[in-house]
Amino acid sequence: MSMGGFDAEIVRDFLTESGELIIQLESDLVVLERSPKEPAMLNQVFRALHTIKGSASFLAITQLVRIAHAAETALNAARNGQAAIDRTAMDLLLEAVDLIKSQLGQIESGSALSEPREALVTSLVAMGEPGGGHSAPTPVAAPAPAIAPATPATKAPTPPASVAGAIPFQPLKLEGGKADLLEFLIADLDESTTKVATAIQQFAGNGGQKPAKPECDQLADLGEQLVRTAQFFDFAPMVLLATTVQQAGMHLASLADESQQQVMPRLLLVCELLAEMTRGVRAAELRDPPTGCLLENITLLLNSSEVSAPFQLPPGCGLEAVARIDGTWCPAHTPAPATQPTSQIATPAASAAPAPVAASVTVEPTPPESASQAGPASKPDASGAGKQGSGENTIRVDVSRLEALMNLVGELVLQKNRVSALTRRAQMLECSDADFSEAITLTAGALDRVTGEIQTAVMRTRLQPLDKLFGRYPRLIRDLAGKTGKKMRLVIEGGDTEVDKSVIEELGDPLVHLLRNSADHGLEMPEDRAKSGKDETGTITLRASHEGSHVRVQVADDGRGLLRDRIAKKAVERGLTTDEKIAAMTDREIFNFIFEAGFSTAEKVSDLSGRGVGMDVVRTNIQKVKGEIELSSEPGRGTTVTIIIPLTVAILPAMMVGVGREIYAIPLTNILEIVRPQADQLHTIGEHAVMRLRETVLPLVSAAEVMELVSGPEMVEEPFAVVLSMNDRKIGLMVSKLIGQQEVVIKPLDESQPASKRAVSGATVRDDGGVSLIIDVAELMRRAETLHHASAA
Amino acid sequence: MSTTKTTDTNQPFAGRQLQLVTFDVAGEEFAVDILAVQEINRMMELTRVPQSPPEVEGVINLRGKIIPVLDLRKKFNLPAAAKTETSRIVVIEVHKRVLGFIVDRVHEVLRISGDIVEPAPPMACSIDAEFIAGVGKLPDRLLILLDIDKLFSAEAAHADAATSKHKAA
Repeated sequence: MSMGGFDAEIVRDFLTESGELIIQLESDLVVLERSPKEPAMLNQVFRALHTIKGSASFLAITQLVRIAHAAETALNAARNGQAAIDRTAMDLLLEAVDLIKSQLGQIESGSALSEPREALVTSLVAMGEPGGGHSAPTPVAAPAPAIAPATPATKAPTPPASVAGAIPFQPLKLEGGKADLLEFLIADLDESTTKVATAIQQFAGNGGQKPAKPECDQLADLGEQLVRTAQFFDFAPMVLLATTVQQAGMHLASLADESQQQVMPRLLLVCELLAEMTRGVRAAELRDPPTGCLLENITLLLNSSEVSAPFQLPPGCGLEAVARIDGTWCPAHTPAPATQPTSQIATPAASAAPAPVAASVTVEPTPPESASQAGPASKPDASGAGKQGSGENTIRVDVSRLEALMNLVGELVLQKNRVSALTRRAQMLECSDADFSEAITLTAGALDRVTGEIQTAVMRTRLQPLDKLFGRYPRLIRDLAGKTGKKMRLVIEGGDTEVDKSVIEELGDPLVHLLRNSADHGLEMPEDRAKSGKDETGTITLRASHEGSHVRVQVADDGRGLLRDRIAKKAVERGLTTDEKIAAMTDREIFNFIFEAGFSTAEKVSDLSGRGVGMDVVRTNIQKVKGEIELSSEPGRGTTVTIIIPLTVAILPAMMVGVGREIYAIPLTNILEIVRPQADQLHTIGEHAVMRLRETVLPLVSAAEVMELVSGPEMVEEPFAVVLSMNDRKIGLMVSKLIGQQEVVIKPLDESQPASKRAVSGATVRDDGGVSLIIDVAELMRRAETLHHASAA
Repeated sequence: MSTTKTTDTNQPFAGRQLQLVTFDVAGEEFAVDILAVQEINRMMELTRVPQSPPEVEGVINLRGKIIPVLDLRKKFNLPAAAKTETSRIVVIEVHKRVLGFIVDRVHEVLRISGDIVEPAPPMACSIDAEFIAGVGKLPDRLLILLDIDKLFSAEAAHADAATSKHKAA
């Protein structure tokens, strides 16, 4: 690995960017498998891979470039219609993606990179080599750039005689790591230049019509790629030309016709110059053809300014004329008008095929479908446009900075609460100066509002669409389908639902568990499904939606469903309940047993085995982010698991309650109601207090006892019962007084203290500056339960 | 002093200038290195946390950060006493962990020569000798220099045996 020479920041950026791309790539590939001929998808996949390869080659990560290049070759062939993306091909591609993924991980951890499996590289590259006699489509052997007039570049290491005489050059020198990549890079350069030339020719040949925005965006994209490649050679003139192309892509669409006419021929000339440089690189020379005022003029035009009179191009003027006017180097046999490049077509295949619009697309000798990648296809451009747009409108921010900001906002909220409290006090003092008191109230109100808005805004910076997570799952389902031999599809709904980053992180593993369960145990084998009259292909639906300040995520399958009797039987076997109790239980209560730790691992052969594997882990994870999980199932119709989680974990709506002299916060989401029980509602069963509430009997827990406040003989009076619910269980928590609702900012308690067994999930600062502990309802429930089990036994 | 110095030699701080914050706990005068002290606060209301070690008196809000506060009397097995007007919470940072401890009174910032500090005689006072970095012999009185590393890493270890990184130091 030769990362040594690069700034850690650059490497990190590369890792972040490539990491994101690879996740996208993975899910795109699965989509591609379903519709292998979809050019938009093919292009998107190709582009993602290409970007990764480009960055990697800039960083001289040879192993990664090698595999990326092989995969790209295969994809390119598919794009050209020379190879089909069948299952085998997809397996190869996914293997390549996996390898890149692990390589990225290795770069991150600083360990040695694994080399691609030789057979993998060979097979991928072989996909790119057509059986027929027509040209090798691998970029390495890509023919000369489109408008290059000369013989194919591979055979033309020396430049054609130019009007402006010999081109100055310096020998191309590359470090060891980069030299290995030269071949790839040249291919890249060749390809990008060709595409740019094709695109511009299409614009120019468009009869004065303005190029559409998406096409321009694509040009900008191409330019960007070109810049990257050029940077690799560390050759400023080339970077400059590439940047000009990129700029052109960004501004062309908004130019007046007049400027367009002036700029198009010039851009064609830029392509010529780039092509010449590419030829130079191939001959290990960094050629620097004089560019005169060309670039300055283009920049002027792109900024919607006029070029001065001597530089005005007459309509329809050829490259040679442009070169003369701007004083640049010019290729020898300039094809006369730009719209009709009579260039020698490099491959027989291409010359035989009627090439679309710009006559000389030699890299894609296939009919319009795949040729669209450089041209006016709309779909890939749409994504390109999106990418371009986001590139301009977003910045990457270190998460720790956002977290610091979040903490500060939390502080601000606290101080605001204090100001509100002080204002209330000031009002009670009945300040004699009415104006003053009103001013204070107004200011406090404004502060309140602004703080609220800041809080929302900052919180939003941490929100991310669930797609970020969901994007990984099509691949998972594909692999599971392969392993289980079942037919299944994954339907994703509401992937644009946004939730807090930390929630996304906590949700990842549970969802994998649930999907795996659905695929593995929920869905039946195709023949069984057919027998019971279902579609052979099982459907797993992953659904997300907002629900107030919560997000609901559902994993549903249309499989066989849970079998009540089996679960009940097993629950009795494991001593979790008794036969008598079972009879009175609802389905839901019985299904809840599968959340018990290790519930289903006992018997591996049964239908429901595995249904519970990890379900306790799932529930624990969900509870960690203050979420809840529910399960419903219908025999023969399928199982649905619903997860409800708060949008954010940093701020919690809570009810503040007093217990003795302390004040505690209880998460509002868990509170069903608050009652003041009358004496006749209170009973004891065994040694345990219970409360009758309408038709149900709730176990009662004293907050003072849980919080260890009763040290002496003094009794804490607790007249109120807060009815808490979680996962369908209810208990009553007795407290002394009710203070009111408040949004509390969750602060961690000192970590070095044992947090496991205390019924406190964190702390918060009240508006009077004091600290209140936040009651952990899940732990409270557990305790109440153990008490009950103990008393029942 | 915030770093663990071996106290094998007779003069653990020989040749060094020490800048100390001194305070009273149960009638004895203690000192800690000023660099470890973040701030000294008046007593504030403590929030008790269930299931915490006995010497942890509770938690406080230190400008938005929740930190644990220890009672040095309990830590040293000294008789408990009511908090007074002069009681203070000394906030220190040890092993990247911020915590406070309650003292009866804060005296002064003192500059002494390390030459006058001697290792603690094992039976010198009521507190465990392992928490004592040395005893400073001032002209008019003795000063007990606390080894906060040991003092509070032991607390951490006691609180949670799993956090071995504290213990290791």
